[in-house]
Amino acid sequence: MKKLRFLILLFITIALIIALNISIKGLPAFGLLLNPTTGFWANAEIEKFYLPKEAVLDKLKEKTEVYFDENRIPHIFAENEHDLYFIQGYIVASLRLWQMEFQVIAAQGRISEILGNQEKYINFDKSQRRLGLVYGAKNKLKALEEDKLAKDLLGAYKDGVNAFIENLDDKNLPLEYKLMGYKPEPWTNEKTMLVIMNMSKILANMGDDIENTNFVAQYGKDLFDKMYKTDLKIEPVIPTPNKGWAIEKEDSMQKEISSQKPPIAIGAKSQKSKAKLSKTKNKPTYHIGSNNWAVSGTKTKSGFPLLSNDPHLGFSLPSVWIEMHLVGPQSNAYGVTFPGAPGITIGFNEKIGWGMTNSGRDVKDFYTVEYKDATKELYHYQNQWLKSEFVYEEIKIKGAESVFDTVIYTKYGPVAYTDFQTQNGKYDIAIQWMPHRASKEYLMFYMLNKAQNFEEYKEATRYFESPAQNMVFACVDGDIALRNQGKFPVQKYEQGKFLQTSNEGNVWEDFIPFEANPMQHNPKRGYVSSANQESTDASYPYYYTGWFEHYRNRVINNELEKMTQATVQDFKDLQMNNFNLIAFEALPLLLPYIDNTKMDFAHQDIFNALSKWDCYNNKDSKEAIYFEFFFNNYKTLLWDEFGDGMVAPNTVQTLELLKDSIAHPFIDNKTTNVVETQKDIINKAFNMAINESKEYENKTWGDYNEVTFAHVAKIDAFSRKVHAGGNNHIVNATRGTFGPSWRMILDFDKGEVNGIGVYPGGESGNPGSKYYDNFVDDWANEKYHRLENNKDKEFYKKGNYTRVVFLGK
Amino acid sequence: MKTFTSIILIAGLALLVHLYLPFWWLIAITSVLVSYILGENTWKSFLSGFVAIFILWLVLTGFIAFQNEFILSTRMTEVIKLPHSSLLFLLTALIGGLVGGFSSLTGYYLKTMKSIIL
Repeated sequence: MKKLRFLILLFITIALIIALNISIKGLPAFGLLLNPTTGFWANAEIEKFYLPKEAVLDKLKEKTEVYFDENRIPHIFAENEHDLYFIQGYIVASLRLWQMEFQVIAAQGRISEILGNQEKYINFDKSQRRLGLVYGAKNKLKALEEDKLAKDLLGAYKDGVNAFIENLDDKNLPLEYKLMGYKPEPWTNEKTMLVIMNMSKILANMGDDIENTNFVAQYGKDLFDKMYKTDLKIEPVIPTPNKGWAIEKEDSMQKEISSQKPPIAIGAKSQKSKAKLSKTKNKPTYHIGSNNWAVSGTKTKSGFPLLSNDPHLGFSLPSVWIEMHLVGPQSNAYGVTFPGAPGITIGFNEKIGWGMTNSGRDVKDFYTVEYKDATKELYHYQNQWLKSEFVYEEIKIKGAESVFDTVIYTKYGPVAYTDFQTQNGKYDIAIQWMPHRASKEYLMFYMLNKAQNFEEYKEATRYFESPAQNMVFACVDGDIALRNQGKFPVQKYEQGKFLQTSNEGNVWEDFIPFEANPMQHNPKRGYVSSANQESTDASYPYYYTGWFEHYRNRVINNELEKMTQATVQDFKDLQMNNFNLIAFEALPLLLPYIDNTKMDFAHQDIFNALSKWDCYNNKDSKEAIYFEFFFNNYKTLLWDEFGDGMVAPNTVQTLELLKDSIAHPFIDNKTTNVVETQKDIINKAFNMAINESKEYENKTWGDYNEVTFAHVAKIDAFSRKVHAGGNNHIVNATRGTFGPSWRMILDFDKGEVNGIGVYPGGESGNPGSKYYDNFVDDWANEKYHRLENNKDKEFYKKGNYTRVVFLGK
Repeated sequence: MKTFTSIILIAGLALLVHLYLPFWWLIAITSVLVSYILGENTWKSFLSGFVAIFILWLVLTGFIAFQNEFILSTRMTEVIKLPHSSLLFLLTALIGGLVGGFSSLTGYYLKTMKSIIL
């Protein structure tokens, strides 16, 4: 009896402990998660520094020191480049391991393995694999590893990350691993490549080929040309040089190609399909963008250049950026980088500074694949039958059986969509995408980190092929420059705008030569600037299409033009500029249509307010709310016909159509029985805005513009919200979940580079640390930090820094 | 008095386990040990184990949370969807208390079983 009762109790106790240590029905294991030793409590940062002050690491060659400032920004001092990259990998992992691995797992299309058996996760994984992110990463890695230096540096970074992972115990495992119940895998060079593929997916993955083709099939090319004009309001990144474009003689043939018209795989107008069109998945939102500019000494108070960059990316916690200072034997670079990307991505050294904005030039073409038969084993290519390459993808799922998917690879690239419904019928659609190609982007960052002058900057950019960027430059010797850098195919006229067929054989073979990429070096006007607008005007000899911004660039240029004695403060003010150029141009077009004869007082008030508005989306503006509602309603009512399969004209096109009173069949709202005119829908949009704004009667634009920094895995409790001025298409492009993800200003005064900057986030990826989000409030309050790039260790020894020493064996 | 000594011993040994050993559940073994030596009856054994670990975990987590300025405990309360932050501490302590209580009782029953065999 007593034996039995002992055995029962023993069984209960053991069962209880086991139950507390395993995950049941997707819930975390409560004992593992809640116990004070190794549970989440261990991630609550207390006074003790988060790393041991001294550590011995096998693969380290020499003693390497790291000084952390009071915001936990690391200053790494290494005796050789191997150690510099090794310790960078180690430190980034120590601050952001979960984030850096999770973004790679997402790129690999493996989130179902972590997040479980839900259709949306499995579909995401499938679409990631069909986009071929791993395929591109492998191609790039192969190219980079042919270069001994690059291979060594990538290897050092990887080893550093792994040295941190190997030293992790249950206690120090980042919180998200504990919550989701998994452990980190070893880092690889391929994962480092996937970081850049992730950026390509965000920045170079646009493509309206299918939607444009649908539009032409239904409404014809004439209407398309009228409604989707591309040469509107141009103030290009690179104005046409006085002496013309630098094109070598042997390129004249390629130049000619650009004026040829390709056969377009668009059907006749009669082929109207009533089928529900498929939605092109995986398209990036167009809110991404960025600003950068530099002015030469002729326009500054100090007589030396100033440089500014604020890349706009999706807001998240942890932030997409991590800030650091890397001092090696021949280098001293400060700035931000992506967790998982070696070196500094945007920043400066002792001589030069550089920054990026995205170039929206189209580098993704779509092809309908014509197979010989249902087996899909052969496809038509220039009147031959080529063999399809079948790649079998196993998608593992947490708590369920694996799902399998077959991805077909053609000469162009992977079949991204199968059985895709377009206006012309159902097709398998293959993509040809520049980021799939072998290239060596990391070499550019390595060289930029050390570059000393304009020539070295230009030479470094040679290695950067995708995602194409507008790279701004300034130097202590007074040079400023801006380069539209990437690798671009030589395209026929309008190639890439519409669906092509696999049989046409338009595999990119000719590329625009490096020397012909648009660039400006010390222009007469005394400044360079870019804000995602067209790279050039139509005089550029090569054809390209793409996704461009038409407002921020004009506001920036207007301000820069006026500057004669520019200071850092002027640059801050311009980064925070809330002038709403869309409103400024749209209101004079829209308001005259409003029938103000039979208005009640509320209508009259808002009408008057908008008529007199200075068009600044400042935090305290009320008019900004009215305009936002009014204009959004107008676009919604106007473009109500555009569902999943087509893309409505953008804002600048919309306003030009209104300005020129161009007739088109979309003005009429299809949901009503009467035929509307522009006047009808503008008045309707206005009335709707009045009703909607009642909810915000005592509120301002700042109340309305809630900015969310969502946790990378969308855990609400680890997210933050603030309120801010700005909007999309405003220089201060802060809106909702997008905006300036890093604000940097560099001053090249008297042979030194002095920087200030801030990003909304924090150095630590640990939600249990006060360094997780401590920059969010600074960012929201427009507060910048000094970017300390002193290369003298003694400076840090004396100052308020925490020293961590790493020793080799 | 014996119960009070048990509580102190169970909590003290558990603290050492937390400081120096990798697995949190090893506190079950030390609790078994203490009650095997000092256990008096069913209720007292269970209670001494429960109270010892409950209080220890409450103190430990309170100490951590206070030093952490309640940053993480506030966030985790929301993650686990508890209506109030204090419940996070109580839930943690309850889990510890149950493991302490049951293992302590197991130790006492082992002792009673053994005395019969002997």
